[in-house]
Amino acid sequence: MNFFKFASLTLIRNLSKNIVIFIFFTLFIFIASSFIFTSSSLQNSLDAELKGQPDIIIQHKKASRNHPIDNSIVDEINEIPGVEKAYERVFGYYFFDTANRYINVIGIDFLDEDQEKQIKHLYENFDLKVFMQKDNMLISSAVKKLFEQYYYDKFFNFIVEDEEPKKVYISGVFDKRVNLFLNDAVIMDIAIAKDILGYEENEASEIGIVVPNKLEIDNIVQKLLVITPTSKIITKNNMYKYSHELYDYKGGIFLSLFITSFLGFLVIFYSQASSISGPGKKQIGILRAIGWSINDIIKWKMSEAMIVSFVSFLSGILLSYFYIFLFKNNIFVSIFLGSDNVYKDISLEPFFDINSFAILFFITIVPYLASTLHPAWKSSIADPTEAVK
Amino acid sequence: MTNVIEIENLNLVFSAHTPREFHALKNISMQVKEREFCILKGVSGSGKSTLLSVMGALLKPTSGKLEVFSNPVSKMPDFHASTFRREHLGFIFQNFNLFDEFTVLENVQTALVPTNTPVAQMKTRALELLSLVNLETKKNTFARNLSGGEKQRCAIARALINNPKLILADEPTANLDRKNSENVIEILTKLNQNGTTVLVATHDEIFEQMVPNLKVIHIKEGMLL
Ligand SMILES: Nc1ncnc2c1ncn2[C@@H]1O[C@H](COP(=O)(O)OP(=O)(O)OP(=O)(O)O)[C@@H](O)[C@H]1O
Ligand SMILES: [Mg+2]
Repeated sequence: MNFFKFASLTLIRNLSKNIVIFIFFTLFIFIASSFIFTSSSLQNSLDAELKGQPDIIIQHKKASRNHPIDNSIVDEINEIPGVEKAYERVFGYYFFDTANRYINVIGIDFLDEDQEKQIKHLYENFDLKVFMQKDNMLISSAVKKLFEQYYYDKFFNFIVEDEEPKKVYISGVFDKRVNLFLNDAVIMDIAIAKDILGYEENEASEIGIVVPNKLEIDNIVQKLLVITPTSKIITKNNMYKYSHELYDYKGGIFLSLFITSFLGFLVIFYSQASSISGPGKKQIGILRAIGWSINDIIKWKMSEAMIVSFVSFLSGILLSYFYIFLFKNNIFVSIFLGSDNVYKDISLEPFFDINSFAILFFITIVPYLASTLHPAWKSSIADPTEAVK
Repeated sequence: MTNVIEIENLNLVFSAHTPREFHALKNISMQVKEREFCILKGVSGSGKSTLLSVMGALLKPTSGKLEVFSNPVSKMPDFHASTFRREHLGFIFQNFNLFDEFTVLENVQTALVPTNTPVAQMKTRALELLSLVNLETKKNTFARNLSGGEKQRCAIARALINNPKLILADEPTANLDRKNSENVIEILTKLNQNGTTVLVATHDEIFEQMVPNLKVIHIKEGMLL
């Protein structure tokens, strides 16, 4: 028997006394690690999503809101050396008011051979010839569910301002595991999408530009500023930066909340551990009498603390892994994405961010062990004659 | 014969210089020789447990000389005192002081935890001692489920795990009936005959009746008579 074996025995055999601290610790780790899993998985899918985006995007802003952009500059941009392709992108939220939900309408050019990868992958298994014969669309499984609730199982009537409702047939469902950001999407021909979103023929949501040589991006941005000085030009780098800043910001808020409440927990734990109970004193007295030194007592107490904290740490992470990745619609997703425009049908891609967990380890286990040390020492020097009383 | 314990002019004052000051041991001088079986006799509150604790380096005397196996134990720092206790002394208590939630076998081994004794060796040694105190059949029983007599035999096995040359027992029979008391004394006597020095604090007449060549030291109000 060594200290670890001894400590695990004293813990297990006094389970009822130790279970509270174990549950609390596990709960803390569960919450923190659910947060980490969610944010890093979202961040990871967002990065993957951004990867498929064009290298430069041009938007037209009015009062800082997106406004349709004139697509006539596309030809001019295509002339800039280094630009492989400039093209209009059409998308936008359509408000399905009966259901009080937004649907992400994406218009694409199905005949474009170098379609953006994450979009192309949605329709690569459909027969485009049949698809193009009438006003058709492909919808996500979440949207399908929503439509079916309102008995739209063959088509959907989009209400368009000052016009007849636009009837678009549902020709298929991309029910493959889709990117989180396409979860609430329907895709259709670009012309129909423009109709639904109320765009003129020469208008688009934004203009995407593909630049194969990343070193030329700055140069091209300069030239774009000449062509369209009032537009907002966003590079992919900016997008990465922005998304990371947003997540870091939310992460920062969470972290400070977490640390505060964890410290509270430690204070309670500390005061409880410092007031050594009668039976605890007796145990230590006995051990001292049979030849344990103060150091030995501390080693025992610290081993107990290590076991409790390691086991809680692992259990908390494991539980949250199951909760976050095996169950859909966890509450942590809505913390990040908001619950209004996201369908309650989100499952996250498993992603393990080792750095975050290393940080979690250091902000929980280390302070916990530190706060165990003083009570352990204090109890070890308590009256050594307890055993003969 | 050499002295196992040597005490001269030993005093112990609890809570010195406070209103609660209490002079528990007064000018104690005594020796316990190797292989002696000694009892410390006195009424409740006379200072028996206190004197035993001092000998076991659990309490520091206020003044005077104390040597155990020629070691100035009261002057040792904690680490050495603990090692000394573990290697030379076996403690036995009135209320057994077992870990109730541990099995007999686990209880016996606890004293070896701080040593780096290999697991197998630890177990062999523990089983040897359990057979000595006639408790092998109960090795996997939780201590809380033992009878009083069994508890004390388990405690004796625990005290013997490091082969101590001195056993300090504080009223080991006070919570036992006649039959079990005899049993404990037989074990102590056997150990004594094999060379272990035994010092027992007690007011139980049974020791005088059973132990041959018993040395009796009387203590009253912190003083030896
Ligand atoms: N830590 C302490 N502080 C103050 N007084 C103490 C302390 N420990 C013991 N005493 C006092 O010292 C005296 C001797 O106590 P001790 O426990 O040695 O008696 P004892 O002879 O073992 O009695 P018993 O037969 O009841 O066990 C008692 O009056 C006790 O109240
Ligand atoms: Mg006593």
